[in-house]
Formats: sequence, C-alpha cells, structure tokens
Amino acid sequence: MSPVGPLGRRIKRSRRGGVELRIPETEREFLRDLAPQMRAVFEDPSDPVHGRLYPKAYPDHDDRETEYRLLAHVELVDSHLAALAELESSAGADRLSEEQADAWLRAINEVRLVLGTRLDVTEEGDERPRSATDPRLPAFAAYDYLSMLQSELIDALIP
Amino acid sequence: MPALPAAAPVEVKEPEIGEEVREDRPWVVIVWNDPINLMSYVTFVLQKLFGYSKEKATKLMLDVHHKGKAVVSSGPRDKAEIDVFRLHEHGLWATMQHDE
Repeated sequence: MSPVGPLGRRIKRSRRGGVELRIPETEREFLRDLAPQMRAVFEDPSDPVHGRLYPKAYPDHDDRETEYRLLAHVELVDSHLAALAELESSAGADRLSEEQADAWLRAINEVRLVLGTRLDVTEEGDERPRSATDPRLPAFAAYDYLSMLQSELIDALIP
Repeated sequence: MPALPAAAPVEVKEPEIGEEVREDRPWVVIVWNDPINLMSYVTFVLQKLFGYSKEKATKLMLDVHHKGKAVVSSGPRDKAEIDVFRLHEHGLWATMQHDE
C-alpha cells in the first residue's frame, strides 16, 4: 500500500447525500473510456491480471477453492462489471449518490489493480520510469491519476 | 507483486478426531499486504464492510501494511466466505483459513 498526501477539494460531501463532483470533462471522458477497456480484460481469461483480480479464498485447499469458485466467481465478475457500468454511465454527473460513489471507488480500484499489476508497482517505487521516452509513462500517469481520484473520493466520504 | 500467500501456515495433520469436529473450529479471514491498494482505501473498506471504528480499521490496516497481513474477521465457514467475497468485490487480497 502507498500513502497519498492531502489533496484539494474537488469532491465534497453533498448536503443531499453522496458527493458533489467538480472535475473537468477531460477526466470524465477518461473515466468513461475505462469501462470498455476493462471489459476486454475481464473477457480474456488468459490475461495474467486475473490472478490478482480474483484471488483465491482457499490458497491451501484446492477442493474447497474449486467449490468456492463455482459458487462465487460469476457473481464476483458481475459485481465488478456492474461497478464499471456505473462509472461509465455516471461519469458526467455533478453529484454521485452514496451507492454510485461506492461503485466508482470499486471500479477505479479494479483499474488500479490491473495497471499496478502490469506495471509491477512496488511500495518503494523503484520501478518508476526515469526517462521521458519510457513507453510506460502513460500507464503510470493513468495509475497515479486514479490513485489521486480515489483518495479524493475517500476524503469526501470519510472526513 | 509480493510472493503469494502460499507460505501461510496450513493444517497438515490428518484428522484423528473426525471431520465434523474439525469443521467446528472457527475460520479467520485474512487480508494480505499488496503494493497497490491505498492505505486510506483499505481503512475505508474495513470500516464499511465490518462497521469498525476508524481507529480499529486503521489499526488493522497498519497491521496489514507493516506485518504483511491481519485477521479482519472470524466465524463459521459460511460467514467467512461471505466476508472474503465482499473483500474481493472491493479488490482487497483476502483469504480464509482455520483459526490456529
């Protein structure tokens, strides 16, 4: 886990419940575009990030793990897809309900898990690009942006 | 990514006292450290899912961060499975095992 410092107040608790969002359209477009990309990741079982998106409940017990997965896996995938669909459909909203904010947090976290796993991020940050021409720069930028947005949402939800 | 939590202690002895008795032992749900989930997010999720105070959730999060893991809940197998599922829904790295 990595700490994130204090941030500005672009997201605030709403008097009507949920949170108010003051983020620019460019960010909203970026968020809207995440859902289709993530759906492609979910649909490809050969993608190695699946190991991180769907951890084992019983790492030491194959039979129980198989049984658990039979019951839980489809529901877990559906839950992830529903959070992404919520992020996609409410990306333009000025206010998020409590449930929508929760879906945003989960969807953003899934994308962070995918990016962070692919970028092989560490708590120390040794993997950070040192060159301006490093091809991983856009992915790191996306990862850092989503970390910031997630922190802003949490700060608004839990003062 | 850190090593998989496969090194966690496992029960290796075959039961002498029968499966039902072993099943009576409580299960514990463990959250493992990972380099991606934000500390504030882990605290938030523990508060939300288990109704823990900010202090308790923060203490558990710090245990995860510094010790590599923390027991976040315990109980019968069905309840532990639901807790693991909800933690997985939130992207936390959770597993369950018999209490030791």
